[in-house]
Amino acid sequence: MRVPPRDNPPITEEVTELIATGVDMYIATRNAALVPESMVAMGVKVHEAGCSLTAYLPEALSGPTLANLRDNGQVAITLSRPRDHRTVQIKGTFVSVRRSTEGEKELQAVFRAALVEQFAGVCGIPRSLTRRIVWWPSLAVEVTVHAVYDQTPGPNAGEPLARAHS
Amino acid sequence: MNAPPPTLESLWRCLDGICPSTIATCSADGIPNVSLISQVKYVDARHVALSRQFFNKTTRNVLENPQALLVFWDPVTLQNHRVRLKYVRSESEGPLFEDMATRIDVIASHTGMTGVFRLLAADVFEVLSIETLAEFLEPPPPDAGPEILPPVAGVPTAARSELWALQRLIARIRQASELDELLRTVLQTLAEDLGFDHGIVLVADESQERLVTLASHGYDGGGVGSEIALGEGLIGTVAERKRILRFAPLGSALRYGRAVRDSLQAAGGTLHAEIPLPGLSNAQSQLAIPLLARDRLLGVMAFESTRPHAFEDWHEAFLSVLADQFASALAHVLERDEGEAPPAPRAASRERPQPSGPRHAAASKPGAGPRTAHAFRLYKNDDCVFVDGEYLIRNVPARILWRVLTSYTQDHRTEFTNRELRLDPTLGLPPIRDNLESRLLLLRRRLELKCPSVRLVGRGRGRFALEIDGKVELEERQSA
Repeated sequence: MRVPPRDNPPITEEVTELIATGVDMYIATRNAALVPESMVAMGVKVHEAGCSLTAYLPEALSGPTLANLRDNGQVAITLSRPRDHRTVQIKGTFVSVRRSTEGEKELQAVFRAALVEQFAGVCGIPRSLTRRIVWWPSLAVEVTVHAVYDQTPGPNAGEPLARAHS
Repeated sequence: MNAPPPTLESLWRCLDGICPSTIATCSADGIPNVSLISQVKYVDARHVALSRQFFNKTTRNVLENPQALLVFWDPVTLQNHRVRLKYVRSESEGPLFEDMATRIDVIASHTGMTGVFRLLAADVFEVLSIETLAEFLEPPPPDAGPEILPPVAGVPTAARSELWALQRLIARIRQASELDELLRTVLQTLAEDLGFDHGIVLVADESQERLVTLASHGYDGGGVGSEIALGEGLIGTVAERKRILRFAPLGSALRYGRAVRDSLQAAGGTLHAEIPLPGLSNAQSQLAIPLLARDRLLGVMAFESTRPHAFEDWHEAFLSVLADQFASALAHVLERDEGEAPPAPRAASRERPQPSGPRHAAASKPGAGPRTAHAFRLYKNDDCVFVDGEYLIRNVPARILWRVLTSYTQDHRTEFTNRELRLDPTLGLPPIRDNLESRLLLLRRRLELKCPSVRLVGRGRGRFALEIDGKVELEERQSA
């Protein structure tokens, strides 16, 4: 499902550019008892309208996250660039899930390559080790975006970057 | 059979913050949140503490709903550990808070945010369970080379033990009778046994407001004479707080600090300039230990490495024990010669330097090496001495040098005693704990570096001689 364009899309060009420079990506959900869950995601595609996205989750690791998404649909996605800690958090709701296509594999491979480089350059982790993080096959999780928050360390952390009209 | 779940102690590497850790929480109205964490501190086998510099969404959430999930990455194996937590309390004072605040203060100091960027609270969580995500990594390819980083110590682990190294160090400390020997022994043995290739020892001045580097290892003699104010940077903070501090990964911590700095500046804050890191420009980890005699600060011993994993938990414990022994020996050496020493003859040297006038004195030692003339200049207002146009030394050691050189050029003296220096009110030495030995050692080292033709040579306890190859010229100025 695609959300029609709005005047002030929550995912701005600035956020899209941040994603393109190589970021760590973490997705958080919660169950019916409000117990939080989180996992590493391996790729994101922002749709043109800036109001929805597809998050790619390694299928082998996604069981609890998927169960939570189906239970209540609440989702938070944090994207952080290790080299300067520039960080945003996206809040949204789950729309649907499907197996990633072969056509989407390349996008995830590029995202993974950027993660491998960031971990090597910033954390000193050998590339051969980061390449072993499970990522394929993956699930494509469609999310409607409601708001994006600044999460870069500092006094503005938690402030909205943009908020969608409800 | 399944492996037992990991313990918090077994995750010590994850606590260094080399790989990003995250905490997931959920608000009372069901909105999840996931944030990266700057510092996780081991409290005990069942508790960890998270640093809080700003009141953020994570804090709001755990106050409403105490459940949290902490995810660690092991920086060596890249295993993913999931730690279920329950928020217990926040501490804004006490030992835990002070420990965590020290680390934040170091980042603040280096990035020019002292007093602006600080720890608000240490949020304490109970550990409910720990799980390692077995499916997180693919098995290594069959032809994969080693992925584990090399061990820390220069001596193979099999050939040593920590106790053995400690015993060897303490024995050597006991044997060292002179300050120079003591400092050299400690730094060299730590390099040999633990692989600490870059180390310095700084001593506090009598005001207890500044530290001056007295000895270094791994810098080709560089850094001796450099000064740090208490509270400034990692070393100054360790001195001020009198707490050991291990800091890694430095690059990431400073990037974190700069991110906060940029954010504060964007909000209109006025900040101080950044303080560059001392020593290695590409250091990734540092370890600094205060040297205390009872509660009095004698100095700081500091090490750094370009590797982020260079210093481990056990190094802290090891060096804490060592630092007590080292500080005790240091206090003994610094203070033992405050007793009597016979006065030196007024003109003990057979050589007759050639004074060249009341303000511009010149002297030479016949037949002693090249007849290079060295121009020493005292800037009275700045209390420092330059040699051949280059900064040499300042404060008390500068005054000592000037007194000795003046005695040489005017009265032809080459032999001196510590006692006469202590009795000279113009030097400004405090009546007790004057650190004279450390000042003389600093002066020797600076002369070796900047003007090896002029030397201070030990002549037994409480005595030293001035040796000069060539000529010296002295000039006094009020200011530069």
